Amino acid sequence: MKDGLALTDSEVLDYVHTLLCDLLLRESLPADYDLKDSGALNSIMFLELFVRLETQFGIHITGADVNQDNFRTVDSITRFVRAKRADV
Amino acid sequence: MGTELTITGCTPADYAEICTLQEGLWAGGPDGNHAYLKWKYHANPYLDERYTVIARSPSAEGAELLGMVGVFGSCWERDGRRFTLPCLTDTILASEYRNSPLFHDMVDEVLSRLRRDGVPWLLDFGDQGTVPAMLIRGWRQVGVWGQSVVTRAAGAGHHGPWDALPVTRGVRSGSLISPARTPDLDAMAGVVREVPTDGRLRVARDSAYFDWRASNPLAKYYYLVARSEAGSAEGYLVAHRSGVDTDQGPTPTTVVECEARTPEVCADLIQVAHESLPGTRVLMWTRDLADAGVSVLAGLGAEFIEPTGRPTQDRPLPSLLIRETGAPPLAAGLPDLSRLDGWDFRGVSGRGWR
Repeated sequence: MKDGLALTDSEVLDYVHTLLCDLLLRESLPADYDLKDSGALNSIMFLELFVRLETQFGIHITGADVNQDNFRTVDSITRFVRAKRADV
Repeated sequence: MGTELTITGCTPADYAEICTLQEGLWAGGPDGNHAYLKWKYHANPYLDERYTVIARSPSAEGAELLGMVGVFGSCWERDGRRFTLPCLTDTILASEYRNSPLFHDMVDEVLSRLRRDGVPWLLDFGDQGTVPAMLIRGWRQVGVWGQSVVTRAAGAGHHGPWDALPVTRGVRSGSLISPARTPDLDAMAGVVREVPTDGRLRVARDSAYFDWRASNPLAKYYYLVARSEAGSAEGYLVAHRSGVDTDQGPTPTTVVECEARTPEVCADLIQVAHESLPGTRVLMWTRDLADAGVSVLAGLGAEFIEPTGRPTQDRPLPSLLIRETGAPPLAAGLPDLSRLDGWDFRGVSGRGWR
């Protein structure tokens, strides 16, 4: 697998989608699957999500980053990762 | 799952079922857990159980209890005015409803009830294991702060009844430090009254508060009071341990309050406490702790754990979340609660308000 910093935007989307599927034990997730409304990710799962995003993309996720704009759907997480990578 | 659940208020009549549903959250056994619920939610001097909610399956399915979120009252003061702020705490969910929206649905019901009654805020002092999920549902993180951990050898500390600990003279202040198993209500409330406020919001502590907390059926409390030669109270320290663990068991001992008229008295109390308390780990918040206290802890080999700002690193540290309910903030005189620098933790070093 490529280094996280070298991934294209679509590869970031694929990575985030696969990661969430792993955490939720699902084959796939609809694009609009809502992490806020589903309540499906517990604290440990969120922390696992953060650790794997930080490790894969070389980013630091802060408490201020954790909000519904950034972590509600696959798309919003992907946008967040892209923006964070641009800051690295 | 899939049928409509009912979420209602909780009354003492529900306590027995709640104790049956929970699987070790409190570890006090049926009688101990029941007494804990009654103490925390019914006997709290600031707020009864009116905002604690429970969820049940539909009547057609037996109205089985599926979950509870607790809300208890904490009392704070600033410039002579007092404010009761509700705090989210104990969460219980039937196993099949974990990782489902039920916890959040129950919290939403709490928020709705608070809004209806004109209560503008709900606090969470790190009690929930769901901080990230709460943040994406509109909670705000007021802050995370540091704590010290002093790790001692097994068997360290005073052996025997706590109140048999010899009276010692503080090396910095010269005050006489004596132990007690019960709170010295007049001395402790007197010290709090004499410590000047600084414009921030601090925990209100009076006889009613100390008396209530000391009645926690699932905790053991250890008190130290520092007095001058003339007998006036100069400071006090309160620590607690789980009431269902042994003195050398795995749970930490936490210094929940250390209030003193001078930094020297505070430092002496911290030293005696860390040398004498039971337990292999002694924890203490370090936010707002005077330099003299920090020096004592450093001399005792404390590990100081400071926040990094990253949830992946800061999870074990104390924190405060706040959620606005939507009710207008009527309580003039309160600082901006969403700013950590509006909170005064000089005298509290653990979640001492319960």
